[in-house]
Amino acid sequence: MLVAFLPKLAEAFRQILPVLFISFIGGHGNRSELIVSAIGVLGGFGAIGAYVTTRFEVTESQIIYRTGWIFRKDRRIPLAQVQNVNLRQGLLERLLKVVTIELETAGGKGAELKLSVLSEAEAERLRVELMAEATHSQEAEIDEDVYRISRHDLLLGAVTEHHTIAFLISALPLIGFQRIFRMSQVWVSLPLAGQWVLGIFATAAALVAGWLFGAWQYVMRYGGFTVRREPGVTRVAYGLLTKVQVAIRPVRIEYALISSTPWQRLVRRETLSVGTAGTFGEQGTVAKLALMIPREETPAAVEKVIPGLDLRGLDWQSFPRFYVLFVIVRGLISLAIGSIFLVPFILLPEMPVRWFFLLIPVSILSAVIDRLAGAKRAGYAVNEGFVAVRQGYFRQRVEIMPMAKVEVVMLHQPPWWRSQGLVAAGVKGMVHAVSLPMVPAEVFDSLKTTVRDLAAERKVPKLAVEAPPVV
Amino acid sequence: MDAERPDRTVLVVGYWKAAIGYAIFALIVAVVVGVAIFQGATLRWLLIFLPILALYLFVVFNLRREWEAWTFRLTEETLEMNHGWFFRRSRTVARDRIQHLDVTSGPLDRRFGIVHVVVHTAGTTVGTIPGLSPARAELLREQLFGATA
Repeated sequence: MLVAFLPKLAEAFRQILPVLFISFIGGHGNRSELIVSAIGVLGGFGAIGAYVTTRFEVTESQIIYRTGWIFRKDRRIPLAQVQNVNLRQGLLERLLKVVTIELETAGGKGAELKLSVLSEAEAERLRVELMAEATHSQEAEIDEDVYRISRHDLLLGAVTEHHTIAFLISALPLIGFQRIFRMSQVWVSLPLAGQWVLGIFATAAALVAGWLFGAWQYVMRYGGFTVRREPGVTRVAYGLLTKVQVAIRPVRIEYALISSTPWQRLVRRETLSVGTAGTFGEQGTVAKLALMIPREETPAAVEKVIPGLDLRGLDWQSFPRFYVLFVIVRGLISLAIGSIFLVPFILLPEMPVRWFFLLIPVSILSAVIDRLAGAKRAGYAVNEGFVAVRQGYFRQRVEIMPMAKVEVVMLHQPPWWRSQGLVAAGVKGMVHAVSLPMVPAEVFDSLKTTVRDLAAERKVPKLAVEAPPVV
Repeated sequence: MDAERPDRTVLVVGYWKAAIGYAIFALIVAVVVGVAIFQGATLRWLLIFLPILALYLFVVFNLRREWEAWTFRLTEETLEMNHGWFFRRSRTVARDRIQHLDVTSGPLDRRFGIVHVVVHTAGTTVGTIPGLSPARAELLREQLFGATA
């Protein structure tokens, strides 16, 4: 039984860790550590209590989940509503051979149901039962590994990932702000040439360290990345330390994203992610389906995931020429807003900290430049089946949404676009949305027509009552 | 099917809501200005009410134009909502994607006998039709989901 509680305790401990951290930094000579430890022990008991009082059961059509002792909760989820089933196994959980299962339904606000501390065998049995509903609807008996990341690709991915900012943020508290302040004082006292040499050296060191840090994180996180196709379900598993498994129902996919960074393009690789109406645990609303896929294999992979799509056959249109002007004006406005951060930069002439304030306008500027540079190659493709948008220059993205998954078609038109016959259009699925920032009004009309035609094909029941005479 | 407009009463409710809001605002300003004048400020401070009045008139004008621009259309396949006289907006949702309707009304709405209808799909809120007669709202529900009573 102890086995069951350890991960729960670990989780409780993790929850109080930030408080503990702050109290150790700030609270010398008072009893705050004791209080925090007491809270931790209580949290542990709470976790054990939650575990003991939780019961669940999977029937033919639904999963029943009951928890609580004083305040009780009874939740039933019809199996047909389940969007994704995510499995997660942290380091401690792996040692104890237990698993956490997360169940996602539509709505995308995180897991609807979280069952932790299941034995591996039980989790596997549960996963099969939960996905049984999906299996019924599929005919073919497929059971194959579609994609397994090679060591070569994993390393390529690792070295093309760069996380300097993330590294700096996590490294700063480790080094300590006082020490950084003292170092910056030393730096200021140096002669100009020394400042340059040291500055360049420090920047290079940070870049290299950030790069190594990113690579290490990448390998630990995505090592063993495998995509497996089973009847009705595509399973994605990855992770060397924390093992994550995501189960996606291909029929539920409403969004696909092909993205690439400049570094990825150097080695001709792309990343393919998909989204359903649910979320995928820590990955958020999109799940990576292929991490470092060779560029020429992308269309085939996307077409396999989204049936009926002919990616290479899409009729790409570039945005109207006013789009560039629009991007410039929008960029100038966001730069004007971002330049507020120049005020502390100017106000703190003595403090080396001021350079941090420069980061924000610079990052805005880089985003503006990315959009501007990409304005020329940006474009959209709309047909009866799909909406696709291509944007970005350094970080290129192609977003695709099947029209069959579209719930709402939206339009927005400022008065000064009216004479040009231009509109901003958008389609919205359950969670994801694809927006066409500037298109001719006809495109919006054709989107509307498609939605109407698809609804007519689905045989929407006739209006139950006649409409009243128009007022 | 022809496009329909929200009930005209929503305009009256809108005028009242704006009037009450601005009256409270003007009252606060009046107290401040009154104290200032009592303390010896010039009477020119009373001019501050002019922009407040102008703002209220603009809100009234805007309400009217917004109402004129607001149309919705229920066809066999879709529900379409168009609005906005300055920034034009439109939403179209397939009828079978509509999950449920919320009918809401505040105290002032009830006083004038109108309700607002919020249209939901499974994933998102499509939008709100501002100001329908309760009968029309009920009928809209019946049209979409069949008679329930």
